[in-house]
Amino acid sequence: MKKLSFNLWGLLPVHLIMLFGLIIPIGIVISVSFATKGAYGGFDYVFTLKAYQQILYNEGWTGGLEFNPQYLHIIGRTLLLSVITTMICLLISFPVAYYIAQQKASRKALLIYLVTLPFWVSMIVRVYSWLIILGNEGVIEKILRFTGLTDNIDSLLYNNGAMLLGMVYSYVPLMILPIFASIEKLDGNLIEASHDLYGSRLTTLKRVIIPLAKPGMVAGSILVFVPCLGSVLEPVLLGGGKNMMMGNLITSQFGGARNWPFGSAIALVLMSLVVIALVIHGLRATDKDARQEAL
Amino acid sequence: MAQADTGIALQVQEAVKTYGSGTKAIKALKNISLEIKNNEFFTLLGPSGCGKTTLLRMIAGFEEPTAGTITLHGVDIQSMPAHKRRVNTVFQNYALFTHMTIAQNIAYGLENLEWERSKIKDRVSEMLSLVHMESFKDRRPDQLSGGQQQRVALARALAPEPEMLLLDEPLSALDLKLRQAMRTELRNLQKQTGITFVFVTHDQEEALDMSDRICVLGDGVIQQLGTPDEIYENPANRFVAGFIGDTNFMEADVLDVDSTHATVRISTGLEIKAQQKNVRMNSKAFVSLRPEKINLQEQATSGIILDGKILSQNYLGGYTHYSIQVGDISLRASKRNNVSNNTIYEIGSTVKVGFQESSARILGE
Repeated sequence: MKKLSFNLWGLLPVHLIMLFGLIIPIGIVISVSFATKGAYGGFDYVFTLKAYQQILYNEGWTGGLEFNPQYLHIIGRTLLLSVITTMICLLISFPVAYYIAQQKASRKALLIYLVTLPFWVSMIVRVYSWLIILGNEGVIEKILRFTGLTDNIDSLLYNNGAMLLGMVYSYVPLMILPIFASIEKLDGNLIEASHDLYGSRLTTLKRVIIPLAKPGMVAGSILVFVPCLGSVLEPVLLGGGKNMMMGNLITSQFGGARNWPFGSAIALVLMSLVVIALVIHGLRATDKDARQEAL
Repeated sequence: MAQADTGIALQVQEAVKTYGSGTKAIKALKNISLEIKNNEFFTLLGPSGCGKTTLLRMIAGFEEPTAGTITLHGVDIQSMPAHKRRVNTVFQNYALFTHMTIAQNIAYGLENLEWERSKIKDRVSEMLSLVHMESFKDRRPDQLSGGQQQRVALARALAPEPEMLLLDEPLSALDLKLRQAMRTELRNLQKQTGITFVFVTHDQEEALDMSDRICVLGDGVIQQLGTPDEIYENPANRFVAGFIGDTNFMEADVLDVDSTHATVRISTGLEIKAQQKNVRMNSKAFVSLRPEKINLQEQATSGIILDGKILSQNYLGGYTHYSIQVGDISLRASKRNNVSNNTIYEIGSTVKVGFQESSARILGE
């Protein structure tokens, strides 16, 4: 009895924060997504599915519906770039994390500090710095000109590649840290045992190190994938706005386009993508537990 | 492979291992040479930090000797990486792969050796029955007790039919009862498989119990290499006598030395002539006398007989341990409480203390 009342009253501040910070705002977003767009921005509480319809269809001049893949492209681009970013981050992070885990304790601390160093600088500043590196008359262009490799280069900015670069750069520490944590607690004897049992370095990596580092890789993938889906800065600054992602689309609907119901609908689609990703992960984790318990 | 011959399995020649360099260098092994025979239960015994694990890791291929050579069945394996050596290890903490089942753990080495699938399956079930773990094959290591993990580690290391099995203090993590049961089991397993076992331990009782031959390591050098009774009865020096079993050391002046015996005088003025090892004239020597070789009261009938006073007494059931003041030295004696004599001597009482000169050993520093 006592425990129950503590759960209720002791955690009240948390419940209140959850209620006012998460549940009510989401409720508002959901209700706005079903509302009607006002003539001069804003919205009226008149139920309609127009906002969701708009994701797939354009209303033609005659009032008929025409299929419009424009927004699907944005959703697709968002998913694709997020998946690719996550994969590149995985590929970069594993060797880096492994290398750091092999170092002496003092060096380890230093390297981990360096990995987290970018977090001390504002995200906008960090992404902006890529403008200077990649932009016209930027460092890379100058080097290419100077070495005479090429004279005539298209801008390195304002394409999917630049966005990808910016996103990988922004989120790679979030991948390195959990992988490092799981490699670091790996028992060195297991690696020796693998060598002892005729496992070459490659076999040991494939069959012992990677499987045991998997929890870190999964955690890192979620930490990278989820914020990637919602990224706004990289597409605006490095993608030049013409290669929108869902984050930008939402921003523009609440800003310049003044279509709050449509913005809310897109935000809910984005949120459901995140929820789907988390549910898949959750199911796999509980599945594994269930399998272990069944033994 | 089970070879019944008594040829040389492993030869270590003048192996040196130094960690670090310059003035901070630590010499873990100083010039070790030894031969391990086929089909033998060979034990590396020594206190922690004596270099026994370093030597084992060098044989396994986890560490390279700073100098010297190691040959396995005549093949120089020094520059051979660990995964190519036909030698398997049972690790102190077992090092089982937690993400694999018991059967997968045992199959791991065989898969890397590219055995046929059907042969691997047969070998795994053979190994599981060898260590009585058939019903656990689909479990994971963290679902097993320490003793069960130990058996799996053994099965995993034995499965690829290694030319030699290395065991790094495998019993130290088990409780006393289990440890004693595993001793017998290990010994039987070695006889059954005919594989050469190299066993590392700091427990002298374990070493005496299981080994064909024991190599006593101390301070990075071989102190003595021999059968258990050779090492117990004829220790090569003070270190070995003190490390293996319990003994009384009495400092003595050397009066006379020949090739096998020495005559010394201990502080009570008593002269003892007994077998000697490493004793030189004009240097310090020690008389070593094992507690169980000292007779008390009515059992002290022949040899040297002295008068002593009981200082303390520890009753241990089968045995009683006494500490006895004899002149200015105190001796520890252990007396069996058998049918013919189960008297317990009270503290403070005077007893006759007797021993044969042939039971004493005189050892150099």
